[in-house]
Amino acid sequence: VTDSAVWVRTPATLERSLSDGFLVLPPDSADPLFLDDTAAQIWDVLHEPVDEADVVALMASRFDGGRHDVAGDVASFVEQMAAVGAIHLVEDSAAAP
Amino acid sequence: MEGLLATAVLEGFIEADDDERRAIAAAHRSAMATCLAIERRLLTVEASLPPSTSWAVVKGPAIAHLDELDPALRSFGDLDVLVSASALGAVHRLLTIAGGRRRYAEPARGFDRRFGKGAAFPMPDGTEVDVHRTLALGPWGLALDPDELLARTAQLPLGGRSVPVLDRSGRFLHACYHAALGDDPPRLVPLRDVALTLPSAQTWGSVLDRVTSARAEAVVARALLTASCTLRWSPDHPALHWARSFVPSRRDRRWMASYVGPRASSRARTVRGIEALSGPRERLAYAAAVTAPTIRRHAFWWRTARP
Repeated sequence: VTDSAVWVRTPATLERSLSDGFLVLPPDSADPLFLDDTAAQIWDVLHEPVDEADVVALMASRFDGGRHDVAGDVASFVEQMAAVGAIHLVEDSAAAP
Repeated sequence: MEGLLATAVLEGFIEADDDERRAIAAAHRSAMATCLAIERRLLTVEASLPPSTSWAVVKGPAIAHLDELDPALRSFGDLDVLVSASALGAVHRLLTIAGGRRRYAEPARGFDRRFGKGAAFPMPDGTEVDVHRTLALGPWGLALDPDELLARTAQLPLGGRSVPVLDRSGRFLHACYHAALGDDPPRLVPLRDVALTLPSAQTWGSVLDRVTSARAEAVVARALLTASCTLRWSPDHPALHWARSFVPSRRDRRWMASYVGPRASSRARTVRGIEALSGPRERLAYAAAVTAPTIRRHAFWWRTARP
């Protein structure tokens, strides 16, 4: 994984968009995860490859919390979702030479 | 109907207090969790089958993703697949190896491939896979050529895979069988499926040819008229015009009475099934197959009753 790697949803992840969030069934999870509020917004952004720093900047612009707090929340979310295979890193084609 | 109810509340078509909203949202979440588990099962089945297998997903996931406005609007409780008779044994074995246990045994050797409607396999994860040879019990299921349906499939992209489904007119035909020959009175979901899968006016002529070759005009007319009446759905469409002017034959009435009304029963459908088969050999084989369990049962009692 290089510095230009970005996060994106794993194609094998199944999901439903609900009125109050997303229901997500990652490939490595037996039970679906319900994502609401901030988690739902991050998940929505991840439908296209995106850099974690860009997610932090976007969430910081939407919420009052400091950028540092948001960065922690995003990092925690990304770590959890990657652990169950819901998202994975890909090389950023836009950053390719 | 959880998705439609949740949407109706969200859009303000139905009033609900906070407790009711929470309950409706929870019910919708639960229904969708079931759908995702079934789609996971579908991907497992798809990955296990040899590519040459002639099969297709019917109903639930196909309609949810291809015909409904949003897949979250269409709930389903099991996985239905239509499988060519020649592949039934392989699919049954695959599901058994995966921990499935067939709900009812084959009534007679070879019955599944020649005359059966299908078999249900409850799986260890709580999902159920219904493996269909044809779309209905009784005469209309026997009159149908499932391989004709399976010859015209579309592809559903799901979970990074591509899953075969019936094409649009095949999905419409199945929705009509389900709505017209299933529960009496029909449930709302299959009636909505009829409306959702209605072919375009331009293709209706070719769809009607398929309906005619399956001798299913009465099935489709009943499904269309019931959907129109129940859902207050009356598009200016040649299919609706055709259904309103359709006059069922005496055979249609006889067959329909085995599915709907006071004389409807499994026994009546089984008896009428003989009329759908062509040739004395086929009819004799069918008669022998459907009476075999009864004969075996009587033989058992006869043997045990002897001193």
